[in-house]
Amino acid sequence: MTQSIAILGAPVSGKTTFLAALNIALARQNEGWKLVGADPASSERLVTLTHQLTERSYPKATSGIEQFSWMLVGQTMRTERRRWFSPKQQHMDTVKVRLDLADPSGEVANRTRHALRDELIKNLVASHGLIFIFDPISEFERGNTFRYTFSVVAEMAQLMFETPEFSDGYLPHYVAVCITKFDEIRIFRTAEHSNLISYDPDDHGFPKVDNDDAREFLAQLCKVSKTRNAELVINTLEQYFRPDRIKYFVTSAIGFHVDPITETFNLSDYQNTVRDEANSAQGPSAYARIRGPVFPINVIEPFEWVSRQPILTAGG
Amino acid sequence: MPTDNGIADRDMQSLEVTAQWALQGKLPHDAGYRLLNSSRAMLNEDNFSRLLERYSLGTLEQLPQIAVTWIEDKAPAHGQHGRQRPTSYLGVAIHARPATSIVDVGGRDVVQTSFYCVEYDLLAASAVSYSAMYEGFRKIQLPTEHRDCVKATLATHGARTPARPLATFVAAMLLTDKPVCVLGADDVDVHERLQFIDDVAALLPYGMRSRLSAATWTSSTNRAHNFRLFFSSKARNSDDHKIPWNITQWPISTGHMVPDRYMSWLTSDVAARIETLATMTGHMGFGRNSVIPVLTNLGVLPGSRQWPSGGAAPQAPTAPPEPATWQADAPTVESLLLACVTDLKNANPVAAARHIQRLADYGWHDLAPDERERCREIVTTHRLLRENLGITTTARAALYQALLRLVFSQPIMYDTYRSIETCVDEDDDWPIHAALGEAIEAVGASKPVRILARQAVGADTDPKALAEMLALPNLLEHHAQFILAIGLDYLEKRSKDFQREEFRAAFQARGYLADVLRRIYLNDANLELRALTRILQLIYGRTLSQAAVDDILRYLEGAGSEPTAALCAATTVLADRDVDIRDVIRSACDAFVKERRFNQDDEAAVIIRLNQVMPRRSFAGPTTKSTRRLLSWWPRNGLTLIGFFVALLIILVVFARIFHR
Repeated sequence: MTQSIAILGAPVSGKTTFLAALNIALARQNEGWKLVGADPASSERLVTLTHQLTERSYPKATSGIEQFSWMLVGQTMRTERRRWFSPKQQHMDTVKVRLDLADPSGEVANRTRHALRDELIKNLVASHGLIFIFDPISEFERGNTFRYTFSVVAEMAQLMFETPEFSDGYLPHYVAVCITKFDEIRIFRTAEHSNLISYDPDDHGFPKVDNDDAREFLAQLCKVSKTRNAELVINTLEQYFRPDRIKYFVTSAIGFHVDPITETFNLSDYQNTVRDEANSAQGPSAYARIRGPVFPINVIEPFEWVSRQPILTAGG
Repeated sequence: MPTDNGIADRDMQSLEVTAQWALQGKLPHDAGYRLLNSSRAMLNEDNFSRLLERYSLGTLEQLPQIAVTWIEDKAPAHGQHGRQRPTSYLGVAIHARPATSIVDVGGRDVVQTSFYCVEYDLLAASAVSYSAMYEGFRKIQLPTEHRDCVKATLATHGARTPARPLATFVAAMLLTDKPVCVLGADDVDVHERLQFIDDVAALLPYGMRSRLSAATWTSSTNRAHNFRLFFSSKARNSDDHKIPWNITQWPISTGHMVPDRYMSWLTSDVAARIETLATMTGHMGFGRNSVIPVLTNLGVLPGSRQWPSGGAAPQAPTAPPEPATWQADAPTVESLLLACVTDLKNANPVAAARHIQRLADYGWHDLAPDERERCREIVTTHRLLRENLGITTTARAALYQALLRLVFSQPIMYDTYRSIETCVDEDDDWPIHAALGEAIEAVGASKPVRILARQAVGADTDPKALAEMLALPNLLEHHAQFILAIGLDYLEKRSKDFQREEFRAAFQARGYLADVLRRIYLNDANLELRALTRILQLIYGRTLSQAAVDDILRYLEGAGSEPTAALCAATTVLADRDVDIRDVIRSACDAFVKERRFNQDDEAAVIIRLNQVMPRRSFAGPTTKSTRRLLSWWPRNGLTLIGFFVALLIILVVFARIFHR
């Protein structure tokens, strides 16, 4: 099965880091699922990204559009009853899902960069599902998500306007909206104040926001947008894509810091990104690095959800 | 002193130029890359943005990296005689860390791109190299406070004789008008890679730089770039020429006639050739229409301006290259094959994988016929195409593909496939194992070979394709039987996707495959009859109507071909009960008589007698066909019709009585 998935998000929203975390998330899950590069170049990209994250450094800023194909390989249990009176039999099936991924640099969507933008839109239109990265921090500080989203989605709609897939007035894609950087203090506290946090019963006891509450959480976050345009992002997505084909996830690519002694989540010290001060001719800036081991949160789920959706045909 | 319009003073060693420039990067508060500043001259900010985007290298892990580009400003400029012409530039983009470290708003390192371009004519007049441009510009600190053009001094020493024979090979490959990707140079210094690009460019007419874009590195997943020559760690797609940096066996063929001739021409006197090429500064591209006239003028090709058709490269008109100096420590394909054999015997999969990789590197060039023959003997003797080799699946697939490319011609046609089968196992050669089947498909094969190799029918198989495949004259019986069986299964499953007319046209054009079936089922008449029955059912449906039988007979009469006994039998078996099959029986008698091969007198006597008893009729035309159809319909359905009317009458009577009350 081949699923073409494109990742979309404003500059510095963490698209590449999100992809890099996928392999680590699968390894942490330890349920037999793994990522395999579909060709040597894709394989190399997988190794590089995984290596960077495990070495506790963020991937380099993407330049242009990086295109690669990863195979999600695993086994699923299938229950079958041969005849109505015979007992159910269970079979292990090997499942291979090909993810054709397009990872564009955020600025590609900028109007002035025509050729790469065309390539990006072409990729988005041809894809089956979109992973839309919404970075609340970036939105809070720069307020550029709506401008970015609207320009891309509007152009997709214009390109698909005459196609049968657009006959019901919606773009046919499945959209997993990932509200990222849940590990950031401001995001976590907003979730806490909204009483949306629950805790995983696993060894580390990580907090999480249930997927059913994710849209409400996003609405809360939009209220503190720099330009107050963030809520337009939700409206835009739900106007252009069928609402029943949009699902919201609260995620973190690097996850929370784990107390090295107790190996559990510590409510008083959980941020996993640290900033080292750097000074340059252009002024002070801060170099970001990862503090401890990476425990991705809700990174597999958006891919899994998009992959499970049926391949769409005209009017489907 | 250089002036603002680019006219410069020149001496023997250096050239002072004025360059337009652009600086791309990020400031600490920036999220995305943007044009930070650019010169204000002929090219504007939008031009620079598009250029830098067009020649993006992708995400770079190692810095610095350099790209060389060409630009044509289509906005007309006035030439020497007032004629309007576009202005061409050569550019160099230096991707490096900023002088002082900068991280963006996301806390990530920033790569800064400094781009410089100079008018082509100015550089061409002094044959300035890319390395000289890089050296001249790299120390410049681009300004952020003003937008004046910058001045630089570029060295104008002549091009050197290439240090690596690979440069000659790559220069020749570029003439195929396909991008060339150099692999395996990950540890080579960026300056050496740039020098290599210069070496390659020096082995082409200087004018080709007006259309040459090259990069010392591109990200392998940055798949949409436009570089014609580039280094990368992995191939981005299958369309580029993939050349390993460490080829050790020289000389080699490009596998293309024109590039091979050009390579021979170059190597006959490299230094003199480089001098000649440096003077050829007229703009030219890499397409055939540009290349052929230039090569003809150089004497590389004879007077004709037609692109010679493919095939093995003939003897070059000039002296051959000097293998003695180039073949120093190069393992031959033969020796690598033998090394693989030893590794496999010693159950050493690691060494085998290494040797297989080297074999795969040779996979894109042609062996001399005698060498190919020797290699094929090694493959056959040591059964290198067998299923169980004791190595990993990936290594095995790579070995199969390398062997198929080196030892057999491509695409793999049916005759070649037969020899591959013999190589696998002389006694038990059918069917070949699945892994080899996949490899055959991967290197490219004709349609029947793909079916035999994968033992599956592709989605591109339609009735016409199946009939054509089976009509191949040299198809072995068991292959034909397999293709027929799998093909008919497939068509029966997909019968709704095709019109009956498609089946009819495809199979009727081949005489319902009657002769083919007689040949391949010589010893099994039952199978022959069954196959023919299936074919007729695909064309005409489950049973044959009078029209279908007439169609078969009309075709046979029109084509002048004799029906086989099996065709007559199949027609008889399938014909509806009421169909007049006397002519079929008559044809069957003819066929039977001919197939028995009586002597001529006896055969004539039987035929004369048959003509007396069962004279041949001419087939009914379309006007009588409908009458005939009605007549044939009545005996089958008349009784039912009468029954229906009787029932209707009874119901009417019953209702009449009810209403009467």
